[in-house]
Amino acid sequence: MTIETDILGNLLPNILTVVVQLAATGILFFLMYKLAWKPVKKILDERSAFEQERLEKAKKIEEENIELNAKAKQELDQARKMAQEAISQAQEEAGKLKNNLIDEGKKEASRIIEDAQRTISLQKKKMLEDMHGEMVDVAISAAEKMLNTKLDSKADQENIDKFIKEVSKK
Amino acid sequence: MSLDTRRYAQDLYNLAKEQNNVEKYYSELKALNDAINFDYKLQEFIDSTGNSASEKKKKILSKVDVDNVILTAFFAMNNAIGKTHTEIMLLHDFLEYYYQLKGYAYGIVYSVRVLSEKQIKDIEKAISKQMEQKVALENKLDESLIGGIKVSVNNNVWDDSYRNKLDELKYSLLAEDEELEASTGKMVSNIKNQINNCRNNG
Repeated sequence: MTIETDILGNLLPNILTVVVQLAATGILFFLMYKLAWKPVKKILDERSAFEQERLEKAKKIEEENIELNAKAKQELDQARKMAQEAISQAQEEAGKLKNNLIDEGKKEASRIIEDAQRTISLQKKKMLEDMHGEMVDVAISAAEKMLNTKLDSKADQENIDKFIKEVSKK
Repeated sequence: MSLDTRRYAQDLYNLAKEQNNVEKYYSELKALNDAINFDYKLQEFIDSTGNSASEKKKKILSKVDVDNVILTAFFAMNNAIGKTHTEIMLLHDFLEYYYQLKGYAYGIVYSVRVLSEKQIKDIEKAISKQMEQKVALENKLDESLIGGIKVSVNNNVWDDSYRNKLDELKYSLLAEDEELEASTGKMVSNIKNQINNCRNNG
């Protein structure tokens, strides 16, 4: 029986001990509250504010990033558009340049052909004139020789008389 | 003719006038002029710079019956000019001056053969009528004419020589701007006509 009482006694808390323990705990809480709670709370508040600020900063950065991304995308789109326009314009100008070059090439070719035709025509004309001149020289020379042979004193006399008559008439 | 020879020709005339012998000078120098005009070799000799005045005088006397005193006066005047081969020009200018004083225009009729006095007179008469002025002509031979005559008085020229006709024919043929065949055909036709004319005349 005694053993059972001791065990039960051991199992049930000692009121005094509980009170002391509670008092000690209360003192401890009081002291903790008085001495550590405010600085800890301040640290926690500061930490909380810091984290909040970081959070806000991060949020702001994210928003800025989103905005920047949007802007970048817009700029990229604009750049793409401009590049496309530039490519189109370049292609158009290249086309025009190509056409101009082709036209100029055709004109140049045409001019060269005309020059060549003119040169050929002039050379042909000159050749014909030279041939003509030579034929005339030969013919005149032949006529001169014939006149020298055929023209005698009597014929010359008649020519002179004819001249005198013609001059006298005028 | 040059101003130098013209001035000395006048001096020669004045000398003849001082000697009261103008007509004699005229007839002698005209005979000399005609002789030179009609004799190519003599003309060449007189016109040569390689022959001295005495050589020329000697040559003339051997070929032409001309008064020695007048010839000496002529060469003296020619020497006074101080230039070479001026004899022919001096002769021409003397005769021109002589005729000018008589109211004639003096000129030259070029021919292949020597013209008779009658022919020259007839030509002078015809040209006088044209110019409405008395004209005196000297006859010079020019074989390059081929035939016909060419008359030159002052700045007027009447060219009826065959050389001129051939030249005109040549220029007219060369001036034609036609195709070669056409012009050649015309040229041949012209030459045929010319030859036919020549045959008809001859």
